[in-house]
Amino acid sequence: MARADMASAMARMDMAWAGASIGRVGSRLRDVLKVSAVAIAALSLYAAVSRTAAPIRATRGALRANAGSTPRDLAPAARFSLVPLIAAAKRVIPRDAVYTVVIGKNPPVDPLTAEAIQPMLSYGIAPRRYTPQLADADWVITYHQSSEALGVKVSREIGLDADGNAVRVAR
Amino acid sequence: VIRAYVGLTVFDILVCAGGFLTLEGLGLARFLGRARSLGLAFFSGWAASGVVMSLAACFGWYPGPLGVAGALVLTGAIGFSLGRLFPRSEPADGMGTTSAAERVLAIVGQVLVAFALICALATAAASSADGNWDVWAFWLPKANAIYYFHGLQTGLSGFSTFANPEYPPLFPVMTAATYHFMGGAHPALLPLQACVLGVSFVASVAVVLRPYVRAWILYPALAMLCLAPEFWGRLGTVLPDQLVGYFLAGATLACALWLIERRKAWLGLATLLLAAASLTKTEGLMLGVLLVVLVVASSFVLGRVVGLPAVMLCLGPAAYLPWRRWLAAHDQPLSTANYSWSKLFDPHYLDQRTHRLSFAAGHLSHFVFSQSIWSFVTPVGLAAAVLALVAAPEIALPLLAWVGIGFAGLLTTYWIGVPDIHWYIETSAQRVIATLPIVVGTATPLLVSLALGHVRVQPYAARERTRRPRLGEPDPVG
Repeated sequence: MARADMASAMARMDMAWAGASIGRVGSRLRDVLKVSAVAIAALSLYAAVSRTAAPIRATRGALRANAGSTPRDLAPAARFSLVPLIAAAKRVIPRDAVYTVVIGKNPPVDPLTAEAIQPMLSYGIAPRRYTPQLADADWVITYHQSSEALGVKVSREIGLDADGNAVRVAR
Repeated sequence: VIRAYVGLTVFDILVCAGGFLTLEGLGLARFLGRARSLGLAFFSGWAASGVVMSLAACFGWYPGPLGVAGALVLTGAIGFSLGRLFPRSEPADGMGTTSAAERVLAIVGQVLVAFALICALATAAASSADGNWDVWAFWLPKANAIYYFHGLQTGLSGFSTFANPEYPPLFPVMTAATYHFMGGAHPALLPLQACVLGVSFVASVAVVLRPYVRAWILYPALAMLCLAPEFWGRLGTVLPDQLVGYFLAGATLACALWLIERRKAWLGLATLLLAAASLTKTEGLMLGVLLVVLVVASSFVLGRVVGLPAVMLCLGPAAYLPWRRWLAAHDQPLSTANYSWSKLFDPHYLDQRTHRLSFAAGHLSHFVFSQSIWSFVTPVGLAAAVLALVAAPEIALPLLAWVGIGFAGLLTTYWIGVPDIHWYIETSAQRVIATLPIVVGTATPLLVSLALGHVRVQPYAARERTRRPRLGEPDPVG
């Protein structure tokens, strides 16, 4: 009986020791987590503070850049020097017209600009509709291209800018 | 121009009202606080309006200006009615700060967040139309096509005639809707609108996490995200990639809160944001489906009764189906020509492209981990997830899996892709992969809070037996 009591007491002591051990580990884990959380918050603040100069520079730059004369809606076209062409095409070509674009090589056009012209016109002169078929177009926007070489009857030709013309196709 | 600004303001007020009605219906406006929910109302209202108008456009209906106003009101009414199906919630209390040091951390964080957002708004208000190639080459021409030709048309200069016709229509549809209110196509105002949306996203994260995360954890993490060069730099960008990041980050938070406390309203919000992500970009669909699979699986691990309602999340990505039907009905490509998943089963094809895999892996890792691009957002977020593994494996494991599988999925598209890898990476990778840091950065405060035991995932069985503690109280369960 005494031996059974002793075994039971020892078992209780073992459990108490295990509980205390788990408690110590748990408390140590909590400490580690708390320190990690504080470190994360501090690192986050450091990262944020170290990046404050760029927004100030960007804001100042944007406020200054806006003083330019390019229409804000057409600003993306400025990169390809297409703003005058697009602005003139909007004035000349009727809103319900169908147009196409022909890019010539006289003189050769920078490949990036050549790639940009048609989508930039789609962006800038909507709702005028673009067709890839010359035969279906009421108007042709020529870029470094003479209208005589288009192969269509021309009823009118209007200069848009130094690089391009709007050609009205005769029907 | 003044008319355009006034019109944009009216549009945003209507969007906000629609979102507020949706939140009211879900019970989240009352739970989170009506006045505080303004940002979330705009964010969720924009998502809801986008989903409703995109689906309407897919079914051949596109409204004029009055119709757009009607659609916005209808969105609110639908959101309010559907939301009433969810149980009511008592208002939540925010988590208080206990020490002076915590208060200082919180206040400095709040000041930095406000600074970042005010600078972004000022920059966007002063800037011209977005000059990113994809913006003017097809996103805005698509919006023009919807605006001028009344919906999704396939004729000359119609929606489908521009590059990537298979991209879903939410972003161009919403841009066209704003044009109706502006009185014309004014792309110069769109950076400001994009920035307002970004600000509303940050405000949404702050208000949603307020009851679960202490301010000294929440605001420094949000400040780091807001001032990360890539995030801040794209706040005023008209490209929809960051938008996908917002929607998926919002959905991830809502899903995590569902797993934590099983408030069904979070499922409603997550479903809405997943639908918006799926209808914005293909990556939104892919990463959204992945999120749904992981959350549903994690919910079922918690218990069958937890898992079954989570199946509702499938409705989010399913919103893509009408768009797919529209593509098929109009003989448009159903998927991108840039890559085909079937190539994954062609060992010879893959073998020839190992150089692409290593090249893309190096660049994508750089875009995610570089301090000059995302500051410490990604490593800190992943560290927080690891810390939360002990206390909340039901949340941390799916999140880590989502990041890992999402990264691998995006990497695979570059591996099996057709375009020249240098051009492909240079023109798209940095903005496409940005969704991962946005989601990780948004989840960081919640993960830290879970790791510290400030908020705990309630075991299903225990929840049934005990009173659910008020938020912020120590949880007797577990």
